[in-house]
Amino acid sequence: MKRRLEETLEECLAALARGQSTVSECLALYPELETLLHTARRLQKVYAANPSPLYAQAARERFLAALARRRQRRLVARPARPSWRWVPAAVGSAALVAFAVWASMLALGGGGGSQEPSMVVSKVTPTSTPEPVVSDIQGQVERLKANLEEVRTGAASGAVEPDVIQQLKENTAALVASLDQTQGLEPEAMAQIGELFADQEKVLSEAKEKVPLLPAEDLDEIIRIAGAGRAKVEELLSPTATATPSATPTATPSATPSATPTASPEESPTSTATPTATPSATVTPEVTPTETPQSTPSPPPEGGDEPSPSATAAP
Amino acid sequence: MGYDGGVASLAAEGGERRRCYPLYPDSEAQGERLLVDAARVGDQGAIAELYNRYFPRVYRYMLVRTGNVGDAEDLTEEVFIRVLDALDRFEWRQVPFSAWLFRIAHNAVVSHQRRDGARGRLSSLSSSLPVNTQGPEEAVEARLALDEVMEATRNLPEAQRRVIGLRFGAGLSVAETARALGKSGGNVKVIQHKAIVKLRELLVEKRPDGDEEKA
Repeated sequence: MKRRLEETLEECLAALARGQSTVSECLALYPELETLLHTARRLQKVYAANPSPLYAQAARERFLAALARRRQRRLVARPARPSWRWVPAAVGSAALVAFAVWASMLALGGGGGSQEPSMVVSKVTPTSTPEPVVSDIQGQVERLKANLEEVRTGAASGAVEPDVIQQLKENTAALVASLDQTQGLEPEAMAQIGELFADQEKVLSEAKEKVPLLPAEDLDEIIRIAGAGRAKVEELLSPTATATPSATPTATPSATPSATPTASPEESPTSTATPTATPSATVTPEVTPTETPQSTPSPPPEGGDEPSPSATAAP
Repeated sequence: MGYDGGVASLAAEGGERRRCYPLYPDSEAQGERLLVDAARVGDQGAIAELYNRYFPRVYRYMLVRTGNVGDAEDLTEEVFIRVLDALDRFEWRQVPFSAWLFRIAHNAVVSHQRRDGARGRLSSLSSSLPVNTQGPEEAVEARLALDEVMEATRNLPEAQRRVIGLRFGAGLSVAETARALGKSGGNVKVIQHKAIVKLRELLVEKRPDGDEEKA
């Protein structure tokens, strides 16, 4: 009987969560749950408390600052290779370039003009270090696609999380704002963004019809933002737009001053193992969380009401 | 609106039928997976979005676990810094991201308890906490209820408090809670049931007139 009560309680909580049932319906089926359900409802109300906006804002700023510091550290840590270690790579690359020049001159019958060697060099030397702006935009596009997919599948099943809509709105607005800084973005990628916005307008219009409970004003606003984004993309893609980025690959070289080939970018995550220098003393975790669970004794010995031993998986 | 999939999105007022939201649909899980994968390779936007998604949930979990606003605020921030440090080591090995994150949260609580003593500082919970109410009178009522429930929750055994924190604070499903705790779903249901019974007793004790439902 006791076991059944636990199961029925959870059953009711889950049904309420899915909106498939009401408290009174649950109680009609399981009147013995009355006190428990009321207490559970009370817990839900109490724990729906949100952090104060001031704290939330400050915490977010601190988090983003920590994020930026880590990113900066990674960028700084990358070229931390001792200079002498570049020598073999530089020599090897120089030999490669020289060989390429020689081969191309040979292929041209030895009569190559002064332009050819530089052309070859420009082809061999990797200059395609991606602009951070571009990668950010790509990330935004991916997130927007993921959001849109959630809305699409949700609409098909007739249920969409309100937070998904909220995120979609934020991500759409962020992407539209990012269109002001599209240096280095290929026209094809830009066109894809335009298509994404168009797709978004379509999906949202459909979702509005299929899921009438969704907040129409939010959807309309997102559609408006997406429409503005699409217009912006069209403007950027139009040949008259002066801000259209040049498509020539070498016209906007990367900011790396040295001409040495950066063939081994050292993307390995080992660079993140540098000791953290975050200001907060609470930052460095003494129990480094990893995903593999280890069996550690749960701290306070007050368990005892659990059926299983109190070994908890600590990441 | 906070992210409150799971139990926290139960019918709030009068048990009326609300919007039909899936508890943890596949699409949501897939969307989160994409997001987490992007975050793992350093996508700043994805990391920021994960933060947005989980911040209120971690905060509520910390409120339940610590029972006071100051500690909950400190620990919430600490958790996200730890997540930042560990994110590139996260792997999908049948453990959802939420379970992994709340294990980190649990470890942060444990470290905090070791640092600060057994049950953390006692302080007024609700004074700096906004509550979701209409008018000032309701706000006062809500704050009193908040203090009362939080105090009762503080008196629960650790395991029960942890389950209540994950289910009602963080809004995890039974399955996710089980993953986060390394227990079975059945175990979680048993602990949840015991915790609610115990809370009920504690709350009724506080109000000898048996007026618990009104709060």
